Amino acid sequence: MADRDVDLIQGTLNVLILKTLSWGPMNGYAVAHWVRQTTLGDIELEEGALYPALHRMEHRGWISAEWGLSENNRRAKFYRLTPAGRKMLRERARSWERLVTAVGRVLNAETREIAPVAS
Amino acid sequence: MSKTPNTPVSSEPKWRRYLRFIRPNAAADLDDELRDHLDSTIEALMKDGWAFDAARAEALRRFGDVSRIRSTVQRIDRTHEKRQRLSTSLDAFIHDLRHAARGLRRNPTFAIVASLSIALGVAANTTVFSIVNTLLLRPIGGAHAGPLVHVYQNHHSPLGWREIAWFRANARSFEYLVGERTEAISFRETSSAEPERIRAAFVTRGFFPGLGVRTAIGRSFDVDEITGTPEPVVMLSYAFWQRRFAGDSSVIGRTISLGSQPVTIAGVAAREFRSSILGWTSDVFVPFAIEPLLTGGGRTLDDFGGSFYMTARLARGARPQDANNELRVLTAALARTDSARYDRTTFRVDNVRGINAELRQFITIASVFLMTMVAMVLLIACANVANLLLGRGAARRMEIGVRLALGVSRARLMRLLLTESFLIAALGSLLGFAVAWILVRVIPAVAPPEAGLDATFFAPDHRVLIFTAALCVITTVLFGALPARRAASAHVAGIIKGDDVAPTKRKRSALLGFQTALCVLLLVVPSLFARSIASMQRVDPGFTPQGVVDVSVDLGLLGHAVDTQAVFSDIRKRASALPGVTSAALVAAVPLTGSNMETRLLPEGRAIASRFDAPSTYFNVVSPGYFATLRIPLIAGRDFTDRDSRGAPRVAVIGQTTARRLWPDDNALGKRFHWGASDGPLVEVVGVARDADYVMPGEAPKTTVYMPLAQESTTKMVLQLRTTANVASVRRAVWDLLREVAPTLPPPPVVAMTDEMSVTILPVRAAAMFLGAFGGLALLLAAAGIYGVASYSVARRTREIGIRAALGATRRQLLAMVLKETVRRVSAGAGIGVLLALAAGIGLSRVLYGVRAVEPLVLIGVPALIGVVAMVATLAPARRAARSNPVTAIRAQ
Repeated sequence: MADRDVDLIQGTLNVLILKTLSWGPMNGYAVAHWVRQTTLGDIELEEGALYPALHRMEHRGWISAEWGLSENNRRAKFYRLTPAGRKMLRERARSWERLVTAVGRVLNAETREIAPVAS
Repeated sequence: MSKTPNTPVSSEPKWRRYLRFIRPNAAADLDDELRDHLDSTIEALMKDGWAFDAARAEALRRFGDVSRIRSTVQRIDRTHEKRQRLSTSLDAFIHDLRHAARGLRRNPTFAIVASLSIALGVAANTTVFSIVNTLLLRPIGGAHAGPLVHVYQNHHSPLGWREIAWFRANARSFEYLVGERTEAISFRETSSAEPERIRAAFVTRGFFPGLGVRTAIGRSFDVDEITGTPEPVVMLSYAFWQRRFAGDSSVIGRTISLGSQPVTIAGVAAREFRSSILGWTSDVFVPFAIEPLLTGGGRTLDDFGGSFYMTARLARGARPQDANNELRVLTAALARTDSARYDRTTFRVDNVRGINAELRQFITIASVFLMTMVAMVLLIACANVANLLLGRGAARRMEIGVRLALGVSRARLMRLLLTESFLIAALGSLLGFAVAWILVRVIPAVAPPEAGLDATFFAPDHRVLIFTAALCVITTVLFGALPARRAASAHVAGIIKGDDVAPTKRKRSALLGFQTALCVLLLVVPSLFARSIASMQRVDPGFTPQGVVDVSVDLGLLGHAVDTQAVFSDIRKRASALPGVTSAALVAAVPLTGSNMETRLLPEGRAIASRFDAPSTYFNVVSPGYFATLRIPLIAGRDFTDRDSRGAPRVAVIGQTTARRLWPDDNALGKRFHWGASDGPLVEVVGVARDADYVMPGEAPKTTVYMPLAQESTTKMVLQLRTTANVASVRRAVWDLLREVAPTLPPPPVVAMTDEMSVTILPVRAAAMFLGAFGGLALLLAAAGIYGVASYSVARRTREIGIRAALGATRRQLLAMVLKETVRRVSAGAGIGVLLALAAGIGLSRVLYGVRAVEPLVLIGVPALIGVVAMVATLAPARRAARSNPVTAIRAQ
């Protein structure tokens, strides 16, 4: 797999996680559950892939983690968005939207309005 | 919940998880995190009515490959942790450095003296290593191709054209096999300009591409000796281009005259490239293919190609031992074509770094010796700083005690103290490197010009930088470890109560003794060298060089064939008639100037299996009048005369030792020998001359034979004049004379024979200079060390001195008391030093001419000198103590 693809997927995953965590602290399971619910299953997420992303973002300081107890009194690690992470989310969301709009414009174009470049 | 799902995430035993209560356990944490995820999924599914096994399978499916994800996350965490740790320890180190810097700033005298000590030691070591690096480790400058090797005949000899052609045609281990040979040549900028004598490197096909030499401007050439059209092109060396043409780039395509032939300048070699052989510097590079054209006379390549120093680029994948194996096979094949010539010849490849194999062994031994000596200078410097630190540690006892009492760990304290040492070492090393950087540029400037060293010859490279950095770390440990351990192991309670007496005295006197011992050795060794030089200058070489002037006459530079015999004879006769000249002669190799020739003599009628069984004999080619000019007495027979010409029967004059060895029971006069080989020409002995030194002053007499110039075909001779005139006026007269006899000959160098002879003792003199500098440094450092220790011990005993003074001790007594201690330590050290020096003397007396193993004058003089220096260094603090006021002294803490 080319590196570019990994970046794209990882970048997307990062935005999803950041957005999810903006609702409040949760553990990895909750993040996965929330993404599944919200996308109505349109994004088939390999849940395990969350963890490298979570740890990486923790090291970068976008999210912080603390240990707590889950519903069943298990040790669970809860992640929380940091101010840096919130800022990153805003930036990423904006550029994501720009990308989506731009791609959409291309895909929805009905005529070729731009004159061909003279050869 | 009826059944708690417990998904096995890792195979680790459960109890291990409790370890995290003791210390953070990243692996267990990750397992918990993943287990939480899987268990949560399973629980949710079971709530939806899934059976446990199905739920578990579904959870694992959704999660993906657990072990892969686990190891990915672990890798991410580990990398992060490593980075974190590194930056933490870097921060701590910087913090410690700042702390140390503050400490040093508070005590600038200590900081300056300590780092200057180290700087002196490091400067000396780095300078010597720069030279060693150049002579032994550095690859060919400006050659970008790899992997290169040198190829030698019989261990270290150059190759001839036949061997080159043979190996080039047959050896598969070499991608390129190229040779270089250097010779003086006559150069004229235009065909009408005055001729100048410059150095030309004749190079074989593939030289520039084979070595990967780049051009500064223009193009290089690549002319095949056999198939190539002998295109008359040359390349200039960068230095010659700068010097002679001021770096003018329009020289490309210009025609100059070499020998007497017009040649075109194709390009200029890159600045870093001087030669494939270390130490050679040529002005122009000329294709070997055109050498017959330039130096003329209908000679073939075979006549020229006997002295090529070879370099080869190994073929892809070939190792040096492969090349050696192939050379062996090919040599056997070559020997089958000409067994007389190649029967006992061997060829081998050798390291391309540093100096030629010929000198490598000598240089290696000399390097190890000098490096050992200079390392001792650094040891003395380290002992100085260790002494200062011990004193400082004693003075800082209170501070350290308080720190320890406040709970600073001893390890941390040691780290702090070592950081301080490191800072001193780093400051000293930086300064030392800077000094060395300058010194290695000064050395070529003071070296004799014949050595051909330019300012950057010994310039430090990355290897030298690494060496200095290593010195910095080593010295830190050497001088810092002991004082740091001592300071950090102090007794807290004792220090704070004030009754802890730091037991550093014995350590310090041991250091002082050690310094003195090394100092004795470092002063004795250069004294032995100086004695050797003096002996060599005093020795009677068997001839009288004073009053003789040498003029090199190389008729090969004429660029056209001449009757060399007639020209030489003409020059000699005209030179004899010059005002002030009492006698003139021509000789091929001036004795004791670094050149010599060897052959083998086989007495007529004696059965010898091979020419190698005949004794190796020095030989020289001389004109009539040589023995008279150098004042070498003829014991029997006669000198050569003009009648010993080409057509006449071959004759020789032999040395006394030769006569005794070859004809022990007989008169040598009239006897005959075969020259060179058992089928060589027969030569009759017509004279016996007294033995004279040839290669080294004072050498054991070796068999020597002189052949008459008129019966040889030498074109390169040295005109020797015994004269009462000075060198400058001889130079003018001889140049005028040569312009009449041979107008196209560039004016040759004219020097006094004694000056030329100084070349032979140059290595000894250079070594003596270096060693003398080390000795001086050692003495300076030791004096500083002795002064430091004496001041410190006086300061510590202020109270005692005060009490004694109050009790009525005289100043003389006090002085004696203080001096006694230093004298005892220094004399103990000097005693050990003398023993070391004796050992060194035994070793050196075997290699140095005219030095005995025991030189009483040196062995007494050096310790005496150190004693005086030690006295002077101790006297100032001792007098201070004796003069001090008893009352203040007693009050002193």
